[in-house]
Amino acid sequence: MVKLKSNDDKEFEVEEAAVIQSEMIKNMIEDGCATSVIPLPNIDSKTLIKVIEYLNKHINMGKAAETGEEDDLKEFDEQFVNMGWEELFDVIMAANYLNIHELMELCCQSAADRLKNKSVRAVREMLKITNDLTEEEEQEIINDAPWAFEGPEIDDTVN
Amino acid sequence: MYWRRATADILPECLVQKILSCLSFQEAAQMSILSKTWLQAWLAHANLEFRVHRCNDFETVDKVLVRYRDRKIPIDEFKFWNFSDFNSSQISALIHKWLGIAHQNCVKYLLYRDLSFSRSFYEEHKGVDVIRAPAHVVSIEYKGDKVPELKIATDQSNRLNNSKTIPHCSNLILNAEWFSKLSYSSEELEFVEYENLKSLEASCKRISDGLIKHLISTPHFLESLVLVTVASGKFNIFTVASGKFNICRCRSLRVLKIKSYQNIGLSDVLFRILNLHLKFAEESSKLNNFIRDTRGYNLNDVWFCGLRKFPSNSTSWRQVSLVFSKCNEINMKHLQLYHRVATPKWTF
Repeated sequence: MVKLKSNDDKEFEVEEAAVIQSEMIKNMIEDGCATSVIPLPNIDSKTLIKVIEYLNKHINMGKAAETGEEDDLKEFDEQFVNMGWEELFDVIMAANYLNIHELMELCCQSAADRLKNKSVRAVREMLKITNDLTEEEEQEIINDAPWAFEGPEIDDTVN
Repeated sequence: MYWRRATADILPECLVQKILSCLSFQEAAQMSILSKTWLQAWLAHANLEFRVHRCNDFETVDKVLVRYRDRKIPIDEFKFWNFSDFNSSQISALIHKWLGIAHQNCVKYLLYRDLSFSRSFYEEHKGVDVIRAPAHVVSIEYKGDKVPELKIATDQSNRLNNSKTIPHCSNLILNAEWFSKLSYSSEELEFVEYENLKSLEASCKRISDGLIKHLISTPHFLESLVLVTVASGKFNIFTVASGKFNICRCRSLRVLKIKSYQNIGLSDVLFRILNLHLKFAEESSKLNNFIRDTRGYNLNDVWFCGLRKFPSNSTSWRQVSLVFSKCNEINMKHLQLYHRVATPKWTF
């Protein structure tokens, strides 16, 4: 078992087989740097619980294909990414920090899918992006790639 | 309302890039207008797609690629469609330069498709030697983890020199239909360098003996070989086949398709090649598929009688289909086919 500590000082025990899906922790273990508790100063416990849930479910990825549990995993993944933007970005950041490739892909794809066909206004509102571009800069972007901003009516809702 | 923080603003550029790469090229481009971070992420987008129609499109593409080169921005995918009809050597030099930049920046997937159909365009840059694929190979598609250098060059004799290395190339499709000859010079390439090449589809007017022989007889990893020929006159796959060509040596081959759209009418040669393939199939129990698509053959009874002579103890065939487009007179009495060979199908 490997102990992980979140930035709010909560400890979580995870099976080694699960936790080595994180390239970062795998390397730490291989280098013998994971003897006691591994502190994760960038990850809060709420996010870490999510990540561990994913790791535990994906522990036997290779076997899933043989035992026909692929559909089960797929369903799990679909459910897993069903979270708010804030939470999703927290998981993306954590997956990036821990270097869990599959989780990263899953979450980024989910984020991208939600952004598809959305208007600029809608995306800004959904993601709470502060627009720091001036009007001139915006116009320049449109002039540089007019083809990008042509096309059918886009979805202006924020769901 | 209190927000812990503005969500997407905390995402660093590299993560925004990840999200962009999950979007289509146009969708990703739209996101560039969201904020400075998203704009920066877009400017370093690893997947590039260009469709060039007009003269000033060339300038735009050049500007973008020079930026990628100067800032050493990695490129994962580079897709380029050339719809233009400009035949200047300056433009061909530009295209070579861009393909060179893509390679330098570690491109993993490259698609170059030339739709200008302009013969003189190709003639123009015989002498250029970066990646001369555009010269005679009109479409290149390849995928690989670490595609290092794919150099497909053509010289004045319309030769395809697959020089040096394609170690990680797993799928290579060559399509050079309207070129007179696609040949391969073996001095340039050791077969071991083909070891990750899993499938090859080549279509051209004429395939050189050397290329086929080399591909079939040496690599141990080639699983699929599709040869399409639109040859007129003597179809030299047959020449190869009837000679020393030994297909049995390619143990890994699972799928072999030979398609010909030419009226050949050389039943004895056809018989020889088919016989050879049957023999091959016996020896290679792994071969699953052997499809002959012989549209346009002149068939005659002799041919079918010949077919009957094939050994009847072959157990390794999974599928043999014979597709003919021209069938005038087939005497069904002669069709007492070897029992594992499917009855010929013909389409009109």
